Amino acid sequence: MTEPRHYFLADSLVAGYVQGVDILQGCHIALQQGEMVGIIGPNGAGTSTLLKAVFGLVPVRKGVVMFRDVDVTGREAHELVSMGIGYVPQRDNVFPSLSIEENLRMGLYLRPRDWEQRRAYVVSQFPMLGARHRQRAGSLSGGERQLVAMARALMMNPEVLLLDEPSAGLSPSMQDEVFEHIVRVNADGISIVMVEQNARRCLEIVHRGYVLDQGRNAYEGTGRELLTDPKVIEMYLGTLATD
Amino acid sequence: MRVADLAQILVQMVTQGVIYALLAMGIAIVYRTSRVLNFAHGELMVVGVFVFYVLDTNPIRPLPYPVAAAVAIGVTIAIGMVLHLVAVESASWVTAAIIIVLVTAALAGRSGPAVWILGAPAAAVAAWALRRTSVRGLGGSLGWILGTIAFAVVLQEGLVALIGSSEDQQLIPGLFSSFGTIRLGSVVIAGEYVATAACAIVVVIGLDVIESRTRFGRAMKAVAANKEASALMGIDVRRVVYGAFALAAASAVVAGLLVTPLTFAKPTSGPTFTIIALTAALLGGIDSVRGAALGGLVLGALEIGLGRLLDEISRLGGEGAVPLLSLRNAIVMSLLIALLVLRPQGLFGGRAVEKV
Repeated sequence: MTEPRHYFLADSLVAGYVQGVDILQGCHIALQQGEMVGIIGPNGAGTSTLLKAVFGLVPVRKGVVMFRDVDVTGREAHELVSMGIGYVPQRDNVFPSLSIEENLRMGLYLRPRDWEQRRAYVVSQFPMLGARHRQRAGSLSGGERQLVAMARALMMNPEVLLLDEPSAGLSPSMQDEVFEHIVRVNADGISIVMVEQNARRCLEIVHRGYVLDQGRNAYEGTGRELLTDPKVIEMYLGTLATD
Repeated sequence: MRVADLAQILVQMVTQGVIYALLAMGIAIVYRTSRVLNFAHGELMVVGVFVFYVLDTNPIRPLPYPVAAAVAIGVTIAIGMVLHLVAVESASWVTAAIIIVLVTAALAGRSGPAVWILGAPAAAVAAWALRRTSVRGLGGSLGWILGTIAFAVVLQEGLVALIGSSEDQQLIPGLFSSFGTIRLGSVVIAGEYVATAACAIVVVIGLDVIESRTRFGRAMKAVAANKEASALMGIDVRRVVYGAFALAAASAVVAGLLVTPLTFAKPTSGPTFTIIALTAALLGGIDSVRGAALGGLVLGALEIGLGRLLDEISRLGGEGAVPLLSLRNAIVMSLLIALLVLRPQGLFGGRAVEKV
């Protein structure tokens, strides 16, 4: 199989929730196979909107989204899931009335036959889920829910995982645990696009990062480059350094 | 009242209860997945029954019972899906178009067949065209209320136009109409009721199995809990909602085919059954298919039981006594209101899980 020219790419995206109001005004991101990319930016920069637009949850007005050289612009979320792209939303990311195990089963809705194998894989990655599989997801802490949501997205064995602010609202120790899991999932060969408000921690673990400002790309580079770029520090990291 | 009577009353209570359960389940299946109360549920049932009636009893080419029933279910499923398309998904404009047709019909003085046969498709086309312009609004998020009510009116008026006078009672042939009576000592019960109840119980259990055991049922549960998260599971939410409308339409026809041989049917019976189905679902718990089914069982049994009780009481009063039977529905509805004050989630509805 030849390498796709565009593994995963969003180019010149213009998108917004309401007609006439474009949150994204021509963003672009590219992801290589196996890579982990972070998207940071101040509140309202459109980072989460970018992820949602890529995943078909926000209408794309202009621009293109490519996956393995196939134009997937505007495809609905359920189609992208079956193509091998997973998405973990920031909030409401589990079925609270269902148990952990039922949540995982839901994640495998399209391929119920793979249950034993996928369950074994996910439990090896997240041992906590196996031990507490009967517990209702609604009774878990925010961090535990985040892990359940990630595990559920992994049930479909995705190639690309989109994570929307995985550390939002978590305690510092729980943030550490979530980031460790993300690094491990990436090391397992799954390409990751992550939107984060904790910019410093995010840039420490990603291969490359994009800084958005007011719906446009402001800076891009490797995580290390951005961490040490005086302009980025001044604009985005300075205030966060005291975190 | 004799003991022998009591047995027959109990059988009737169960029969009506199970059929009401079936109707209520249809309401709950649709409500859970789409948050829509289908005000045209009774009309779907009546339309299905009359499609069956015409196919099965027409003098030109009568079809055998199973074929006619299957076609009727198929046609009603299609109508149920159109109902969702025009009355829910594009509710605002369709509602406007339907109202235009209703006004036209009123101006024409009669709702003659021509107005409906020409008007209904014209309204559908107009609605589609208006929807294409992508201007939304009018009905807003509650457009489905007007949408389903308007759709119900169109179905009923269409049926009246095609079948004839709205007061014509038709005896619908039943699968079990030829069944005799069952004797157990001095107790005599009508075999038709027993067979109907048994058949309805099988269908209720079948629906419950679909809901709780199948992949489609799981998808409905997921959509009921969280539409956005369901899409992330690879569930095609739109298809699931259409499936729910189809399943509800099919169950409504089955309920109709079972109940109308016992009661007669007329083209204007729809609203009565819609109210029954909604009441039963609310009574049991509209957010749970099993709860709604139990609500149907309670409502159906209560109606028969209470009716007989009021009858007996009036009879004690002798010749000139006031017939109390007319109080039945008032009593049932008062009980429902009292219940909803005390338990808003219904008799058997679970506690709603609030998002944190």
